[in-house]
Amino acid sequence: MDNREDVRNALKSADEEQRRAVIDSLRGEELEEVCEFIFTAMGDDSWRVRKEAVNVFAAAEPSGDLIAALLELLRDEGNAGLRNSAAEAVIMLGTQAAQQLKALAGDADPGVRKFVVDVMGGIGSKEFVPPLLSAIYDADANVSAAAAEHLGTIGDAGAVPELLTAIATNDSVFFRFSALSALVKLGFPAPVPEEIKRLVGEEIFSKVVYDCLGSIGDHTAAPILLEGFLSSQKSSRCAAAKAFNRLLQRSDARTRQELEGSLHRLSGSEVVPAFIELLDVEGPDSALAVALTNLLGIIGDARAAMPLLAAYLTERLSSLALHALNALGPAGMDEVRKFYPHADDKICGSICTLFGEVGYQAGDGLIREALHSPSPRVRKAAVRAAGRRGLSDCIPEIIGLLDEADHGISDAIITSLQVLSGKDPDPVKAVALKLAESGLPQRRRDAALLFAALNDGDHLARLVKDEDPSVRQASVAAIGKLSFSSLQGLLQIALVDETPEVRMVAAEALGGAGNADATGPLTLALLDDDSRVQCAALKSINRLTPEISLDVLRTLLPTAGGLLMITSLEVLDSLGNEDALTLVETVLDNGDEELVKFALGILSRRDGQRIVRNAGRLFAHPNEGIRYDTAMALAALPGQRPMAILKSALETEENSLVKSLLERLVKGST
Amino acid sequence: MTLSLGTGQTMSDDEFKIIRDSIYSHCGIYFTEDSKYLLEKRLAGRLSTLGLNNFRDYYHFLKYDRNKDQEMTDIMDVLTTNETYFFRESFQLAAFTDEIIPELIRVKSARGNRTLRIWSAGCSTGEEPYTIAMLLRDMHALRGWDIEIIGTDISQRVLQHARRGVYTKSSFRATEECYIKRFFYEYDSGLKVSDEIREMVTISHLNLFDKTRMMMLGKMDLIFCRNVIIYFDLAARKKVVEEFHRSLYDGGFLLLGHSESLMNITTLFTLRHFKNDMIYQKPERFPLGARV
Repeated sequence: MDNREDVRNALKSADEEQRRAVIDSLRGEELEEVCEFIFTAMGDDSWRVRKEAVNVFAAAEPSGDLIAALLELLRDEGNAGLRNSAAEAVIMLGTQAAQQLKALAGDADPGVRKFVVDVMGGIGSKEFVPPLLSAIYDADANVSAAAAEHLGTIGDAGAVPELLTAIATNDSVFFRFSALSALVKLGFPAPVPEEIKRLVGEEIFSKVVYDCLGSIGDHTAAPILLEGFLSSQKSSRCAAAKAFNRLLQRSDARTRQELEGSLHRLSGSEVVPAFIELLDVEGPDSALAVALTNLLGIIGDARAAMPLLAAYLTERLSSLALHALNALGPAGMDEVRKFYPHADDKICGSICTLFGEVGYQAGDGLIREALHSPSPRVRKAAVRAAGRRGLSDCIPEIIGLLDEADHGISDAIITSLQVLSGKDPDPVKAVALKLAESGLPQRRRDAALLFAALNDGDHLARLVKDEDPSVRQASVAAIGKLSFSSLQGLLQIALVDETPEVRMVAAEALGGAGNADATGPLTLALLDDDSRVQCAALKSINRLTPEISLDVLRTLLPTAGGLLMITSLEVLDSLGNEDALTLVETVLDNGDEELVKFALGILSRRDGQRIVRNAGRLFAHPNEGIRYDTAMALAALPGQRPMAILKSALETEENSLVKSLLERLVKGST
Repeated sequence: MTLSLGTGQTMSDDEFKIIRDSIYSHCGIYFTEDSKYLLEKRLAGRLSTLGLNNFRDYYHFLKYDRNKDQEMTDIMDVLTTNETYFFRESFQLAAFTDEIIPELIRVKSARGNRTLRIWSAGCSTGEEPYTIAMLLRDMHALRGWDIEIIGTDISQRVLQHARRGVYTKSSFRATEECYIKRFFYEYDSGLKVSDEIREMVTISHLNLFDKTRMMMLGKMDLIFCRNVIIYFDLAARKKVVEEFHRSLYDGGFLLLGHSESLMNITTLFTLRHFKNDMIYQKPERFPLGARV
């Protein structure tokens, strides 16, 4: 530092950029020498200048004395910017400043104590849990509330008992809110403490108490939450419903049964209309919609049928609502059926689908009627529903719809006929034979699907020879699924089909239907010019003759790339033995970083010591993603050696992202 | 020397050679200097389809374009001759049904093997494999046998025709009426092969230069490869015939076209003199009854 006066003057400049630049120029200087300027800049009017000062200070790795000097800035009552900058700088220093922070935690100035607590929370180390636990008894409500809040952020469940005690003793509303919120974050299921129960009666706390019980309560929270369902405040009712749902989700089977019993008993009560009023299926609070849908289903009151139907029509709630509607039983479905004549096409179709899904017998007549609906949408849904309900008497009507041009409906028809073939195969076979003669490939493909459902290998064998590749593909796939080993020869010939999709399906099918004799052709299929065929062949070889997989892979790995290499690694992962993992290790030298990452993932799961063994070359890899993954994998391993490697890697790492990870991992260990 | 085309594009001698060699290395089909006009004529349409200016560009397309493999597959449709008909070369078929098949039945039955695998290599639109199926269908001696007839060709267009199995008058020039009545029915202004015959035949794509795919077909008792290797030069013929040898079981037969021979190509086969024709046979390493 040649000219301190120049720096001092520059810091007085009206030009913000000049002030920032002069601070930036202090990087690399002895911190003791320039500390005065940096601290001045931390109180600058411009946030850019203050930010620069904070960065320069933190980067200079300050000594204990300088950290203490920095903390003294927290006392400056006249300059909020300076205090905030100081706090920010301490947070950046992390646990480096722990000792000085702890010393300041008992400072006489509540403002300083508040800053200290905030900084401890900002650093987020568990090292600060003890001083924060002490701080929740601070006489100043701002300090105690902040301490409670940060205990929640740090996430040490050991803080729960102290927080509960403090809630009982500290009657500050502000503190209690913060402490309850912290308990929500800590989420440690336990019997509901008396301290919390006492707060339920106080309207101001009811919402936050229900939130809290959703996180920390066990089954003893249920009666409180059940009462909350009819709370006078809407926000409290919502919170109670969500909390009860969370309680259900985390309970064991026996407790869950008890909780569900208590919900059943609400059937016919005022809770049902209250929940219906709260249920907004398109609303922004999806957790609430999910909770109410679930709870209404468990309560099982038929009055909920229509709101649940509305939920069933939405994408996000559909499957949950289906479950809930199913739980309502026939009484609920009766309500839905009554609504059908007043519904539009979309809802009519959904009602048909619903009746099919839940197996509502009294709805069969409606499904039969719907097959004749003028709306294609309703007819399509009715066709599927008839299939699901096994209404074999509807087969003629369903077949009659085959001539409809819409592909969507023909898919539904085939799906239905596949199901119904089990009940009444003859008419389905007649349709399949007719479709097999069609001039349209799509129809012949449908025939293949029906022959598959009918277990008719003879007709599938004919369709395997079809001129259209989609028909051959469907037939080959069906033969594979049905495991017609007598048709293995056809599958082998399909391996030389001109269409790669057919070859791929044939290679897959041989894995399912073939025997060890198929291994020869499948090994040749590894030379196919389509990588999907190669992959399917490799998987099938592994399925049929896992004992030779390793030899096959030894030949394959040196030249395999991309998709085939990924599949090879998957197969090696499934083998999982020493020899297989040794082969996986060879991929760590591959030029394709995705493959290296994939191999790394396998070794990480299967045998982390192999990563330790290869850490040197992995940390020397030019791809930062691989170095990042290596660091993560090593950090998950027990023992001193992985940590020593991480520390060593930190010394040479230049990429900021990887370096920052290494720093975190190394610091975490200390 | 160049020849002019209707489209105005001509193929220089150099272009002819490099394109010819590309085709040859793909599938073994060899165009002699005399066939330059033929090659030029058949490929002219590809230039306009692909929007290329000249045959040099077309060569670059075949060599470097990402769709080069598909193009090579597509041009097989225009480069190969597909003219064929049912029951072609009746004298050879007589040898097949009256002498070869009975011999195979005898030899294989003695070994307890009742399977018969026949490959029609270069089957074009499928008349040959269906002819074989019709001939074998009514042979009493083959009742209960597992018969598999595989027809392959390099041209995808003809394969579609073969799989569909619908034929017009020209395919029946040598077909006796009784076969038409027995094994065909009217369909789409043509005649379609019956299901019982189609069931016996599997049609698939195959480049005879693709050794791997040939191996995937498995071993055969008999290979028909008639009027196919005439399009190959000597080296390619040798390569393909040696693969046929590998594909045949010991004692298996290779049936070539009447104008084709293995003279100067290979000595791997024995020429058998039957009453109706002379047929090549892969010698038995260990003939039935011989001491091993």
